[in-house]
Amino acid sequence: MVNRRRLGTNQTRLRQHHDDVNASPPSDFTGVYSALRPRMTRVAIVVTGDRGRAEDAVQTGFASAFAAWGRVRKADDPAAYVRRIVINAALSEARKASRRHEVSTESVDHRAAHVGSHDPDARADLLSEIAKLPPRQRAIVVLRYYEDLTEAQIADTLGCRPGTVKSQASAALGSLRARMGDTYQLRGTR
Amino acid sequence: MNLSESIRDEVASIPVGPGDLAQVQRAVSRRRARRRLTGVAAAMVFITGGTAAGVTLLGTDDEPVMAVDRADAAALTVPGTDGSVLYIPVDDRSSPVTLSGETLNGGAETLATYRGGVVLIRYWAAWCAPCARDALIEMAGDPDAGFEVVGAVIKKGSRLSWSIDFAREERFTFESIVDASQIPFAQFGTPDGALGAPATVALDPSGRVAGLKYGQFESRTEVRDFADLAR
Repeated sequence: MVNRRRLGTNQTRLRQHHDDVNASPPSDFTGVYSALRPRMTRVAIVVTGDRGRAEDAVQTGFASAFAAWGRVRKADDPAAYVRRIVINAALSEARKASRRHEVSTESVDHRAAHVGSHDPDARADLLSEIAKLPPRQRAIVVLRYYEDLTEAQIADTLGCRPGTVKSQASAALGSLRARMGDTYQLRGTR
Repeated sequence: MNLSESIRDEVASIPVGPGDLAQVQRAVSRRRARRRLTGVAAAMVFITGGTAAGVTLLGTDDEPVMAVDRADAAALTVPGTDGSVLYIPVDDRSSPVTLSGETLNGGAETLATYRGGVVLIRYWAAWCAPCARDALIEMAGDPDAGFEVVGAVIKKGSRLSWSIDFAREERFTFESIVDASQIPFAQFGTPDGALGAPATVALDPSGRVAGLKYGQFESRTEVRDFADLAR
């Protein structure tokens, strides 16, 4: 038989959880959201190759963090928690898209953003080339070079071994150098 | 400029519009509403499949669905829970469940190994996006969790290799037995695939089914409360 007293406690706890979720967001959540959202969106755009899917992944990440904020804020690094969910949501979006054989249209959008950089065409091509890598390599590239995470942190975020991060990162850079040929192969070894 | 610096600059220059915090809040409520509906649908399947003795279902679209034994029904009008939970009182539990077979990793697994503790069986499929990651998956393998997790893969509608990829990509830390048709849902008269996934069965220390939960677990607290049903 169920112990009534224990169920009573659960009921209180669940009601508390319910209230937490429906209240307006706590200021520390708002802070983390504004600080992290632009970066997370860029990371997700690179991983999914698609702005719409990226926004969805970012929303999923913050919605999960929001729903579990009591737990997340106590974590050592709330940013790492949000990043892990965003990345994994973005990866699963990217894999779904590749199963449907969808092709990214994001490169057009990128090109428009490159007014002002010294070699717009070549540089927009770099993002298009990254978009052609397998989803996990895209994630590793963006986490390593944009988010500045260590191999160990990336391994933790993606749930793989550090050795995998190392080998996938070098495979990714190898492909990019090969494809970007003239731009990086000759003068890109520093 | 070298390649890694270019990557940093290129990614940093991707334009990002302003955020909308209200949208995040709406996403949270949408997810909850959707999950509630899934719970209701799954519970309907369950009812038509046959209802265990002494069990009743509570709930409407606005209030969560929970199935409990009638004696405790009054104590359990819980707001804010998602999905449905079926609790089977000790006196109504059937004989211990036997489940053994090959795992996704090519090993062999049998439930008999786990007798003496609470076991949560996660029923999942590679085609089931919500099966990917929830609080239960996060807690699996945690030595302090107080329960063991064993997976049971739904074979229908998926290839074995997809299931293997899914488990690896989603970082499942528990073993999954590759034949969900063996799992304890059979005793409720529901054949393989008839239930929504994910679904989770709680086995008590004697190996008898003590609870059934449809949908994802929202929080670790919810998982602990569910596992407590089997203590």
